[in-house]
Amino acid sequence: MLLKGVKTKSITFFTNKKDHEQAANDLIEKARLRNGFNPNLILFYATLKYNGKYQSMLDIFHKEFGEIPQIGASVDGMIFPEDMRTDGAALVLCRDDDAQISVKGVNEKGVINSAEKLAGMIKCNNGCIVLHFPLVRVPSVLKSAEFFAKGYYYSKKCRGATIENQKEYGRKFAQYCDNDNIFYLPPTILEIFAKQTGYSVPIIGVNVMHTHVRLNSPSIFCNFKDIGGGIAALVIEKQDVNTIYDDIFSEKGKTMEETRRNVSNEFTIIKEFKAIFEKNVLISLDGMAPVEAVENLIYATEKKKEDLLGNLEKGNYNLNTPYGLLFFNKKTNGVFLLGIGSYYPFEMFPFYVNVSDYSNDVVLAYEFVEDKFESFISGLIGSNHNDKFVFFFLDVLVVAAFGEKVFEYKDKVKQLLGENYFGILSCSPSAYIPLKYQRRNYLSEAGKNIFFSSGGTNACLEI
Amino acid sequence: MKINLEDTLDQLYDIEGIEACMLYRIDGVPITIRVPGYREHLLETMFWLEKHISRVLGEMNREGLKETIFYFRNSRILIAPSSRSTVLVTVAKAEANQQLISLETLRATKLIEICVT
Amino acid sequence: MKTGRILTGVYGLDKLMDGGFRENTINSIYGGPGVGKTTFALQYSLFGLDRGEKVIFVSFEMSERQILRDCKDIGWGAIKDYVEEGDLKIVHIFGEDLEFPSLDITEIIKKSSPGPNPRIVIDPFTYPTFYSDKEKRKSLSTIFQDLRAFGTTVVVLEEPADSATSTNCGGDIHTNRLLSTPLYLSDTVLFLQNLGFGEMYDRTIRIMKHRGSKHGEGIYPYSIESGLGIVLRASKKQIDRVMSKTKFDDRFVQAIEKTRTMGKPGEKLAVKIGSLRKNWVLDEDPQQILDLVLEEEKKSYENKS
Repeated sequence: MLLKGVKTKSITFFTNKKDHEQAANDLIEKARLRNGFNPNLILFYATLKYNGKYQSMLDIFHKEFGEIPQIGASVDGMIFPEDMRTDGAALVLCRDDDAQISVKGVNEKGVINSAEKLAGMIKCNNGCIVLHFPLVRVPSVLKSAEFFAKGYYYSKKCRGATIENQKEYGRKFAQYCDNDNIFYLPPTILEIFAKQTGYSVPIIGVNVMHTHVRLNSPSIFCNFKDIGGGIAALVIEKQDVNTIYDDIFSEKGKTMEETRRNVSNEFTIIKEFKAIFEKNVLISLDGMAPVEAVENLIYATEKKKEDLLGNLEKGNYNLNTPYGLLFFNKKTNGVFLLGIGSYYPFEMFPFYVNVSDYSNDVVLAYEFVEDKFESFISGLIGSNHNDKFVFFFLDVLVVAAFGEKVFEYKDKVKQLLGENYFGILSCSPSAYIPLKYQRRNYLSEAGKNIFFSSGGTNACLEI
Repeated sequence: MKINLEDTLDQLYDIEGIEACMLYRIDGVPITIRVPGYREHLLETMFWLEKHISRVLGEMNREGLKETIFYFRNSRILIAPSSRSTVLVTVAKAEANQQLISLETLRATKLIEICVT
Repeated sequence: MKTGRILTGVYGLDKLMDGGFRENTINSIYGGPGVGKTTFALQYSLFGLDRGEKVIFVSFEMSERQILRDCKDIGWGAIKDYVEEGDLKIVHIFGEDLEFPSLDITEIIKKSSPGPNPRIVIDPFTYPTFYSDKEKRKSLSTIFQDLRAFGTTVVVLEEPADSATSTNCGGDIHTNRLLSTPLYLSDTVLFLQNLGFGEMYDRTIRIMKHRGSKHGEGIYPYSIESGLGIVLRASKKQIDRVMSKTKFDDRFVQAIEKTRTMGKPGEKLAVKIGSLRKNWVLDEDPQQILDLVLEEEKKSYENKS
């Protein structure tokens, strides 16, 4: 819908045609019917249906629209005024004459290296930055085999080694994961960008990851290029851009003890462990391999093993799990929730947060979220969205948690936001939010003013 | 958004992982179907469905079931009532993303309900 | 409209039936109580009357007065004028009064007919079948033969309440003794159904049989509207499935070319392929069928040569 009298205008077109070229042409045809609308930003999001074909689609769009900033990614779902879909592709044309908009992206070797390079390329004094990067990049068959081989190797090395040596191997494995762009660590990346921009501008991290993992996914799109596992930044330089972040949890405490109390009130604790970890690699829980330590407690491991070994190529490796390991941040008193239940065929457990600043006392827990339906879209509630384009990011966990009820979001969001919005369903977003923009003391504080959790967060921009 | 029964089935059929979709009347009569050309494994599934659909629908009606899932050969058959007199059936590959397919099937049932009532 | 066709008068139905009923045929309308069989029959009649045709309406249940009253209630009050003008003849018979159904019915119709080649309606056609059990098929066959010679007939058949066909769209007509014979002898059979849920596909028509014509093979929703009668609401896609496709014309042309090497049998085959081309309604490529036919015909031609 084209809205008059608003600053950022947007129109969304959607298709779910089987063939990728037909889908792209379908979107172009629909866009052409709205002649007279000249966008200065294009968003393109598509589900894994078109995996491997994104570049062809982007080429078609590039030919049609020319040199306009474009950003997007492969996602698990989209919400827009007409509908809510988990299969297909959406093209969103945006126009804002007040904003200076740019999109930049890199795909260098090494996650930190890429982030630093990209951060050096962008400037933003007023407005916001939206980063798109994979949370976990599943590479090709060969690279996946290499990852598993490395995992096996370092895990084997850890057996019988001293704690110091174990940490050394963990560090090496973490370094390998960074060098090969397998795990992007949102708090680390956000810190790089926040520092670059003088800690003055809110930054949202769109953590792209699919619930059903597939080889060579996810993909990031930047200026009509599929940059695969690279990182892209949408920079919006504009006054009055409102950035909102929230999570579904209660507040963190002023002290670690208070946080632990809040956590035990909110979560159902299954067991406490003493963890050994190094950077973003969990080495052991109570002296045992992490998966082994929890397998009898969560009963999901055997099925996951079958899925990973048998079905990764077919895309039937499901990452959803209701269980989490809670890590307590010694500096912020916040908590990082790591979904556990995924299966690695080796003992070490790499993931996507550097937990060096976290306590070794971790807790296995789960949380009933049935009564938190609206909390998953809390960022959209209670704000004044009038005449602004709302671009929001929701945790795809809601699909597993609420099933069919998820469709109520479609109507609820429409009720809240009107006609000028677009949202994506992917892994829960992360954010750097300067103090003045924070609504409360979020439990998911993973670094100073940096927020992330593997489930239960949401973010939005009002432009 | 103008809703059209045939378009709804077309969109559902285009979903990744869905091999066939059929809209049945509650008495087992097929109203409209979307199937690819000749696929032997699908043919077996369709024969199975033809033999059992009336009974399954009868049971679903009697027991007030919201959806029924069968695994037949390498297919997952989801049967979901779309209105008082119609039922939507989707046949998906077993390795497809079942959660998202269920979601899209349920979305389609809501649209079909609007069309037929 | 295809020549030799009688429009049914039911909106949306003729395009699914290759233009309507064939002239001088027996067309059965079959279904349970309250589905609209009599409405169909009246609509068929009125359509012809509005176009200057003659109609004879044989009713075994309702008197002329009842029929006219029902028509008035639907918004077809003008039908009374046709009765007065003599274009429509309504004959009310009690089935028990028929002694020799095969002679009686056709005699009654011929004597009562308002003109040549009328539209004929028999509503319902249940009584003669009940009456003459022993030689039912022969009796019916004779009746139908006579009616064909006389006009284009719509025959209303009531589905018995205990019928095994009531749940499967009339697909299993073999199990119903009372209905199977007239249905087998009819040139066209339309099955009307009403499930009673108040939704779109509750009231449906299915074209079970339509001799010598291409027809839709699905179930089509209909509604009964005041003033209009039965209105079929097939979707564009459903209608499209019955329409001839021209995108494979080149295949047929090539196949016809290949028949030229087969002498006289080839000429006849060319005509058959031409007919197939005109009536090809599928979206799939006919190449496989054409290859099969040509191969077998060529083999047979070569063997004979």
